[in-house]
Amino acid sequence: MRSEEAKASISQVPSYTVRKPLAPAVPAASLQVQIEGGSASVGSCGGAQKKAIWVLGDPRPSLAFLVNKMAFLYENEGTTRTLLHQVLEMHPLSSPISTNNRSRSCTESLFASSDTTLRKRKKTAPVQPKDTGGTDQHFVEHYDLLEKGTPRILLKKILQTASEDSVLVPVLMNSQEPVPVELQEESKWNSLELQLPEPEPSASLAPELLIHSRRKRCLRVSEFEQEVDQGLAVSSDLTGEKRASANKSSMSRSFNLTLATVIPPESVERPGLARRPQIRKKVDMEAFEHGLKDIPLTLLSDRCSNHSTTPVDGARSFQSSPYSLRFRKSLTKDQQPRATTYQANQRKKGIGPRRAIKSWPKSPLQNQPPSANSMSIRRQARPWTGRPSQNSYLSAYSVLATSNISREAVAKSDVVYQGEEEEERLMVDQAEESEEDTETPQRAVVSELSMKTPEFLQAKRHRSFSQPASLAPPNIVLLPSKLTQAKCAPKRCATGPRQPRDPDKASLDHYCKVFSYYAKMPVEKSASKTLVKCLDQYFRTLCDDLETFAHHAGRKTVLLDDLELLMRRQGLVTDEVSLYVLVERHLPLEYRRLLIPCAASGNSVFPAG
Amino acid sequence: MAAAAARVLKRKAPRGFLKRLIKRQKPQLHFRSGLDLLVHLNCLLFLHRLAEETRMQAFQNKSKIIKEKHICSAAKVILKKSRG
Repeated sequence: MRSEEAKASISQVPSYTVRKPLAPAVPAASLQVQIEGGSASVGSCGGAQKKAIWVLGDPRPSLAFLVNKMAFLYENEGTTRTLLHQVLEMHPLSSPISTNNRSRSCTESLFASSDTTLRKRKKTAPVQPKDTGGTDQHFVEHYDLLEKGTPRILLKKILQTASEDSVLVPVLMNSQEPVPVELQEESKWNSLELQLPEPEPSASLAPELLIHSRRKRCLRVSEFEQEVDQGLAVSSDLTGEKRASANKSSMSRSFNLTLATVIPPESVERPGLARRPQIRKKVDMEAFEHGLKDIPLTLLSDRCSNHSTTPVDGARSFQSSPYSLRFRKSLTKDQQPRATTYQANQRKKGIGPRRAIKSWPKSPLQNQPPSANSMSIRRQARPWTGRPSQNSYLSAYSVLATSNISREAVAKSDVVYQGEEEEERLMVDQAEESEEDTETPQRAVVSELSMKTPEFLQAKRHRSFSQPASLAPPNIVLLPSKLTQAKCAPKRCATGPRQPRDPDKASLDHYCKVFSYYAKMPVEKSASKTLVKCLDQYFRTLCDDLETFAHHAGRKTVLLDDLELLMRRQGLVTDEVSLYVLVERHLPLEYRRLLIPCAASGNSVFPAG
Repeated sequence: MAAAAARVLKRKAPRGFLKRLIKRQKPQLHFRSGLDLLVHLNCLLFLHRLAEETRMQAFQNKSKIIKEKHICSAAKVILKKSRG
């Protein structure tokens, strides 16, 4: 009987019986039989015995069965889950209809049992509000789907409810209803995946934007470089206005970059620019001065008659603005090398120089903004003096150019003062404006500028005189404590008296530096002089000693041994410390190789030992 | 300090300068090829000692900068030492 019943049960719920030996899907009848039997059923359902006794009195077989199920479920936490898992796995993916037909009964029973278990669990365990809400929903939907949904759906939902922390619950609930039953298992994973891609696109959006912005920035840099190239190409051309304006506008756009980005392309394209004007400045300026004296005086008388009110503001702003100084500095730097060519142009007094002048201010425009900042920081005296001279030149010969320059000066001066990026914008704008202006206002500007030149010249002269005097002494003694000054000094000092002094000084300076390094403390200028004296004294004694040693040895040449003896007497070389040790410590590798005899191939020693 | 050390150590010995010096003082002497390097080594060591001494003098005077008097007093000692 038992076996028959067991078989029947097995047929009804095949998966159930196969998987669980403990739970032979004991139907109510068998259960009762077992209970009656007593001992025989122990092996099959051990734990259930306790419950079985409790169930004894229950007449209804279905209830008993349910109770038995409950017992099993209570014993093993999540038994429902495991059971359902098994059911799911065993039932092959097939159409809902067939599955329904197959295991409706068992599923119904299972479902009923699961429902009861759920209810029981609700009562027993302190269920969280979430779960209760979820379970409520489940219950409702379970009932709804009982008739429509396949066992798979039901079982899955049961699983969800059974698990305490189920993130998937809401998603699955949403996704499963429309999803076909065939892909239930897959839909489970799909739902999981659905969750995942949701945050992903949001995350991906951000980097995309960033990338886009980066690309924009990169583009900007490249744009700037392109524009710089254009500008350089344009500078060589004669017709500058429209192109220059276009360049300026493009430059304004491109100059929105930081200074760091601005400077390198300039330097890369014109490496010589940064250095050349620094060296040649003095000479050029003086030549300018001479030229200045001759020319503007003649033309001034002509220009003075022409006065107009409008350009005064421009002139005033140009003169009054403190920025104009800086602007002049910046301008002159790049303009000075061209000053010489300018003189040649001036004599022609034709359209040629005018054109050259036209293109000329525009080309420096492009070069200067990046350099202006760096230049203005460094050089303050020279370009300042140079600028007015150039202004006067321009005023004398080209009206348009001066206007441009003045406007540019204003723009640039303002620019230099305000900031790097903004500067360029302003400059561009004002330069553009300047081009549109007529010639008449320029003349007044010119005149005013020329009036100012003698003052500038005087100031410039003073400065030029003062400069070399100040520059000379630092050249003599280079100290680490005043490195910055030292850096400036050699640059400024032109080719002075080079050869007789420098080698000795260089080596002495070298020794001074060594001393300062060893001392690890700042050394004064006066102290370095004493150091030089000490060194001289030391050398003298050294030579005398070497001579005496050689003479004592009856030789005329000084050998290595003599020096070693000397060092030994000095106390540098001791029994512990040999000469070679000292050589290794202090001298660089190449010298070591020369001094220390090393064994070379072929049974030879280098150097000769 | 590492940069300064590198600079100092990388510097070549002013061999021509040294040879010129010695020739100026002792024209009769002939020098071996590698000797000027050793002379340079000698100079370095001398400077080293001198610097140490000057530093001690400066510390004694509680000054953070090396001054003439420090070097002078130190040189007296060291030159005497390196007389040989």
